[in-house]
Amino acid sequence: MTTVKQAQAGPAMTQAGKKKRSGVLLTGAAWIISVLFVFPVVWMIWTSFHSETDAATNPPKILSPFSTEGYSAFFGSNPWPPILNSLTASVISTVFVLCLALPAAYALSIRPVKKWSDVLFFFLSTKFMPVVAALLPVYLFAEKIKFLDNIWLLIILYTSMNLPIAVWMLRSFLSEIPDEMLEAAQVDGAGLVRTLREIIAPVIMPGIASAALICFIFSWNELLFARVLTGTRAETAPVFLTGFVTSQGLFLAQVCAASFVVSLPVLAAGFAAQDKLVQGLSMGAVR
Amino acid sequence: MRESKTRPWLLLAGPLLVIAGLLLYPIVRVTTLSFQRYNLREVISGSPVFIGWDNYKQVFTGAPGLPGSYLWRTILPNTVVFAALAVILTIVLGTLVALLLQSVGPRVRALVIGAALIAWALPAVTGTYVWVWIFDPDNGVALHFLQSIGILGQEGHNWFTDRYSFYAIALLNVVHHSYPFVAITIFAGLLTVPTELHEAAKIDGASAWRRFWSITVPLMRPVFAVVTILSTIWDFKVFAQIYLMPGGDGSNPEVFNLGVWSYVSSINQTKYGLGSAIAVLLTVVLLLITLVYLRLLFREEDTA
Repeated sequence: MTTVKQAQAGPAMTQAGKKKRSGVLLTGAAWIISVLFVFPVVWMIWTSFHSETDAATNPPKILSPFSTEGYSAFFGSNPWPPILNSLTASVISTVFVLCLALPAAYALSIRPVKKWSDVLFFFLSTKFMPVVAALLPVYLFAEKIKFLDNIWLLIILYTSMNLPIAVWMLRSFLSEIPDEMLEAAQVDGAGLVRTLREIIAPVIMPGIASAALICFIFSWNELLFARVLTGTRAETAPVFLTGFVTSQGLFLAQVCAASFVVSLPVLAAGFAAQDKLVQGLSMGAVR
Repeated sequence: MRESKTRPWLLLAGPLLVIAGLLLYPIVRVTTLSFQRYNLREVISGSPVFIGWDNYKQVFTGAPGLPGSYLWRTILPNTVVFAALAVILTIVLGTLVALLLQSVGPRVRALVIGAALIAWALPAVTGTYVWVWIFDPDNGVALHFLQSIGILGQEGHNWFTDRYSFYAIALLNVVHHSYPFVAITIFAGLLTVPTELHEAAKIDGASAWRRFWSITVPLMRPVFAVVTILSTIWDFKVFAQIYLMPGGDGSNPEVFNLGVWSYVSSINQTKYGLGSAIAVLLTVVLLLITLVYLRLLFREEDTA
């Protein structure tokens, strides 16, 4: 490392000015890109805190008084049951995914199954299945066994939807554990449960956290199954939002407030756990 | 290791069963449905009728009320050309942002990653609505902006009725939503490229452009393969981003893609058989893409 730095130091001196300028340019580009990334979200939050008349003016008033009119209108339409449904479906399906995926990832990475690549093939091949193709079969089946408009149906579907990604990601994390550590544990006479708890769990806690976050975000954002398979009882937040936008579409502050509230859990999760997400996203696809 | 041979399979049994059940059953069922007449009348009577390839004939040569070339002139371009453009834009922008992430300081990097994750985590539903409001034909920010700089006159413009501008907005929405993932994945891949190679090439006088193509790209081939195929699958399956735009919910057949057409046929029009045939077509296309993906991915892993 030091030799590389020294080698760079010589010619870099004359280029210092040029380097500094390109550094400023790159930082500027980074700022512009960041603003473009968040522009729709910022616009939505901004509009949601305007009064309905200010939100509707053209040209839009940038510095108009702060108002929570939109939020009181949205919360007046009783959005809590759908939000609770979304939380239930996302959290429980995430727990199920982890319970199923951990042993599977363990079997695939640390104690390799002979045909492990075939098994991984199978898990990954599920990515091709479009939800639209599963929709009717699931709908007709659920209708027959009287399981429509039931939050447990969504929990089962979200579990199977996210399971392949979770297995794939956790396997990547588990492959990081050196074999020697496991062998040492075996020499000490540690059983499967103890090995899992004392060696593997600490190493893959970050992996579990990022898999859980990603599963939570995907379940929370799911629309297609939820829209067709639920009614008034098991309706989720995104489905409620589509209904709210259809009926209140002309009131921009209201619908922006509604959109923001529905997005808040995933935006907060994404923002609060950046490192975990970056690690998880890259583990899932790179390895 | 002294391990029983069955234990790994026991550990795998749960997920394998769940996935097999929720993958194989729908595939078999949707394929059966695609050979049946299963419209409102059959839904009421409860007895669908086997009609052979008729639904597929309708898909390929025109369903009632739609022109014969509907699949070829409208649906396939909306699906395939859109996906191709979205994939290219996503990969190019994702790579540029990844390279940018690599060359800025840690604080600016954290800022860009934070912003990217916000764009990625935003639900497709919300994201789509926000773009629709921004491009609102009566009162949108985009309309006002274009009028104020004189590109658009007072008469305004409805971007959602015309297929091309509709898809331009959808493209903006989909790319904005998906390139953060690609950027982060490629950035993670870039970290695995040894810096010594770049330093050596720099001393030899290779330009940044040259170094990117002869060092970064070959080493990153597997990563690029994965993000390309994953993006292709996502962009073929795009649903909410089209369905929630004005006209995408069923009123304007000009803007449907395969997924939306299938949904509208089955759910809005209660033509379960026709909708299933379209869904089977989409599944077959995606299956072919996935096979390519798996081959690329595992060939790389075997040689590594």
